[in-house]
Amino acid sequence: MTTLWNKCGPQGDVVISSRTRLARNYEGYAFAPRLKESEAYDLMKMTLDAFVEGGQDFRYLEMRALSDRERGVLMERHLISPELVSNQSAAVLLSADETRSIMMNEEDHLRIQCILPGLQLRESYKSASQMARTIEAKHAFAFDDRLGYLTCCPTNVGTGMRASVMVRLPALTLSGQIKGILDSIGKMGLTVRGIYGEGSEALGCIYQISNQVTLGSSEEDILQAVDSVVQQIVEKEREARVAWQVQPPLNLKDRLMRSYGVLRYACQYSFQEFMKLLSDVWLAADLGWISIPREKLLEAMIESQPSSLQARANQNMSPEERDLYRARAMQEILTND
Amino acid sequence: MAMCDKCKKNPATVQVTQTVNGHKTQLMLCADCAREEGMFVNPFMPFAQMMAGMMGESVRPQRGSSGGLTCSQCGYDFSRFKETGLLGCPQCYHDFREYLNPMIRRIQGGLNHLGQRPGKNPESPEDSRLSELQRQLAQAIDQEEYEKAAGIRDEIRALKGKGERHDDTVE
Repeated sequence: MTTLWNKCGPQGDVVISSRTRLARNYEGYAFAPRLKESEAYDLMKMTLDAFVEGGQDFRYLEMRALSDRERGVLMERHLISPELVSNQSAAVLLSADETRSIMMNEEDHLRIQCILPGLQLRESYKSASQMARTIEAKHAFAFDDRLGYLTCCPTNVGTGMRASVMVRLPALTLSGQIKGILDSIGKMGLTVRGIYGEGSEALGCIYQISNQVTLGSSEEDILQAVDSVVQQIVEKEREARVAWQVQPPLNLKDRLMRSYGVLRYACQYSFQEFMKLLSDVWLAADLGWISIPREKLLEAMIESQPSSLQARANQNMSPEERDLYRARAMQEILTND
Repeated sequence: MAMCDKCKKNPATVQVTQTVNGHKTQLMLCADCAREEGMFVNPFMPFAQMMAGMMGESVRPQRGSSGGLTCSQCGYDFSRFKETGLLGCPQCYHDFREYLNPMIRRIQGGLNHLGQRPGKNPESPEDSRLSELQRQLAQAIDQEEYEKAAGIRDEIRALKGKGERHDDTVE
């Protein structure tokens, strides 16, 4: 069981997690996609040495040494990216509590990240920045006096920083207010996307808000921009929920409680279906109509995904087997009576 | 200074080369008119679409018809950047800067890094003074206050000490 994903952080009623990622590349080498295999391994070793010498307690996992399932679990917990999963000459350094990770040879030599529960953007930046400096004390990063830290793709150049916050906005989504909000976030130089599923349909009403631009603003300004927008959205989501507690829309309670019934008693569900049920049940809990601890809901969100589910069962399963097992496992997590 | 070809009021600061129905036209525009003409790209446009728009029109054609511009360090061909959006090595930023910098300016809104720098300690008073000056310098350049920029640059040089090269070329 992870230590991150069953904790609830500040503003945990709306904010799931805060993540800061810094992209860095070593001076004197081609960017990761153009490295020879031997160079890719040299860089991984170099990073490992710099970090171990820095006295950090991290696990080092090479992608080629992991099974598909193990890589899948790391991806589902947002510790590595989908791109890293399919790259054999890549590795990840992972802190014991799984809040900090360094991906090696993704698009950039290093993607240094810290992910924390709730709204803790500055804390996550501080931690990521510290990791970057530990390595920089040993090896120089590619840096240009004018453009800043040089990255494989110019969309990351400068600070190399992506500050993102994962939020759950069921009331704003169901009431249709979300569209206007998403439009106005776009106008502020930030970007929003659904965490699960493609396109505009944000599965589970879960969204990620992050900065678009990485050059021309300091890290502090970027953090401030993302943080203040998130705070405003948190307030709006809360207002919408409070209004519904006083006067729920017609049929809302019926819909949510039906979902609760299906979640509790159905024999199988796909991940997509489960996320819709979970979103309804979570909202029912937000509104005080049922009682399920938030930590359990978070745990279910992570554990219901294909790789995590198979890791939980400790066996590989076909999609049909997974759907059956998902229902059993989620009912175990969410209903303890 | 040349005036804007469109409004004829403001000084022209942006050169726009467009190909419309096979005819190449070149315009000198002020920042406002360039924005109106859609030359500043919406940062939320998907990357590939943005790239295609930029590469197709407002960037001047590169040397040689077969796209012979390559990086002196890693040999990466600039035409591959157009396809993938990725560069080959840090040197590519320097060797392709003529084409790359205007594009970075459009994606990022500026060309001057204001964040953390290597070897700097955010707690040190000298380093925070340096960061502040660098911020002021970037602002002065963006607002085209070159005299002010030169003053700030000298102060930065003094603070950094002798013997360090400071690339302050203004695009």
